[in-house]
Amino acid sequence: MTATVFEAEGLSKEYPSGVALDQLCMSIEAGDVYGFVGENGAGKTTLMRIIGGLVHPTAGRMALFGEQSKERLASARRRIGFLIERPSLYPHMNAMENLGFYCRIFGIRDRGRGAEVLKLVGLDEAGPKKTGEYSLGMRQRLGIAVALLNRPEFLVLDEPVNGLDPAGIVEVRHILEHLSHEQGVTLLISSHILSELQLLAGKYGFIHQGRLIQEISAAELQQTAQVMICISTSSPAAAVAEMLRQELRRGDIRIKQTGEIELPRSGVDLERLMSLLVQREIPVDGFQLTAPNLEQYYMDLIGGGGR
Amino acid sequence: MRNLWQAEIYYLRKDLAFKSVTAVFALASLALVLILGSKGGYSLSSYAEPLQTAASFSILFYLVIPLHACFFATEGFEHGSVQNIIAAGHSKAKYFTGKYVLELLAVLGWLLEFYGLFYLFSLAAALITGAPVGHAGYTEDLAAGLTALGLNLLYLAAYCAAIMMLGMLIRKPASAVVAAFFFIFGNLLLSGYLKDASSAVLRAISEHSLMTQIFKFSGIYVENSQLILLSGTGDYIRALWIPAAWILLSLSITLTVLEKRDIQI
Repeated sequence: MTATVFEAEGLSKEYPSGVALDQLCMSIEAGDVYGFVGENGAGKTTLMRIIGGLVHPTAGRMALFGEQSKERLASARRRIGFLIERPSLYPHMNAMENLGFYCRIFGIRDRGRGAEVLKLVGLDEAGPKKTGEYSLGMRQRLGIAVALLNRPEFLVLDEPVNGLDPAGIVEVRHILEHLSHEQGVTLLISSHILSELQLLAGKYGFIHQGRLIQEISAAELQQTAQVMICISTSSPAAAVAEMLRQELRRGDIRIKQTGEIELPRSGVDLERLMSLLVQREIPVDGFQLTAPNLEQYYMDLIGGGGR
Repeated sequence: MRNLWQAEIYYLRKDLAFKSVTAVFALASLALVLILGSKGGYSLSSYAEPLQTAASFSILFYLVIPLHACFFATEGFEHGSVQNIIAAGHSKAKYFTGKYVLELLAVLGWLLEFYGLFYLFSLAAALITGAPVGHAGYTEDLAAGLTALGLNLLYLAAYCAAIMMLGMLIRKPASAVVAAFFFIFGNLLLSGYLKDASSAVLRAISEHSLMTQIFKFSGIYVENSQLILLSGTGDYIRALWIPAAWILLSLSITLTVLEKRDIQI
């Protein structure tokens, strides 16, 4: 049986300015990589703060590793690593000194642990440079290193790839994949880079205006989202689309804002489609299949898909 | 709590403000010995006289240490470390009390540093210049010096409690420092301006202010051109309960509010 790492029932948080979380119910099982998707102010960070004990919910209950009482929640939090919003670093200290501070907070006696996590996030050669002089990406890596210090069983990461360069994003993904696959660490990650989140997460929670509007597994996403065919042509797109609608007898062919013609892959004989285009002497500049897309799924879900 | 203390001690060791305050007291002790000596010579009426003289400079502590307490209280909010500390399972109450107790230890260290260095520099100056060192009033000087040391610790504990409360409630270092200034100089004003007020209530406020008590045990409180010191049990009891009340009130407010308020960096 899989253990539940985090469980929320009717969790709400209300501020004088409005509702940040509204009756949220969700659970994260051990080993899950849970991608948390939502617009700014949707309530993602508020939930993470509640998990960290920084914010008191106004209603509902929460359990971490099955523990619910205040004292036991505090000890459960020692098994969690956090990176919420921005890395909490002392600018007058270097990377090792910052980690030295947090090692003491966590009661870590292993003197080599700091160097270990620095190597893991690719900052082992940062040397004596003060973190006040770090780039955003370096700060983010060090923030992740702090979250990893206490060998967490559950990692809560709010925008972990924020500010990282493309290589850094890939590196962080590999680190998180390694933690998840090799060490069985459970992950709760929020990110606005949905394409990146899609490569990592096995389960997604979509939050909108404080409400969890949908939970879906990666497999379900693959099934629900359609593979689309995209054709770009120098001929008038409207005429080509109309021709395809008649020849293929499909009403679901549309023209994207980019001018490309898009139609669902299912039920289309690719050979026939290609020969139609050739027979009508329509110049094809590009032809591609688009994979199921978390971004599009999210936009459709919150009603901004434009489809 | 042990982990928290170890981490905060580690922080203080790297903290420029802490190092600066330590350096200020070392330099001040030397400078004051030189200034006093250049005016009245380095002769001492007893070996304990420097302790009593050092007590008259108590006001220096109240201008410097509360500001450090303010920065120390707000640094976790400024740099965000309070987030990681609370998320690591430490309670908000432990976070504050840990910082408060550590600040008190730092205060004790600074008091001992200032008194100790002032004493050593005074003796060294007398020795080097060949100034005479007598034995008159040794016991009285020692008692006055040690009483001032103990009361300074208590009053600085009260100041730190009040100012760390402001820091924890305000959370933004710049605003908290402004509030700390108001508290420090407000106390000076209460003591100085209201003591001659025509209203009995205002005079009572002045009489019960922290700064009035500090001036009294430091031997610098003058009223109607007369030096007034703590004398009698009533004076000493008042000198004890006023800071104790401030400490209790400030700690209670801080712990209650801190527990209820969310931490949003």
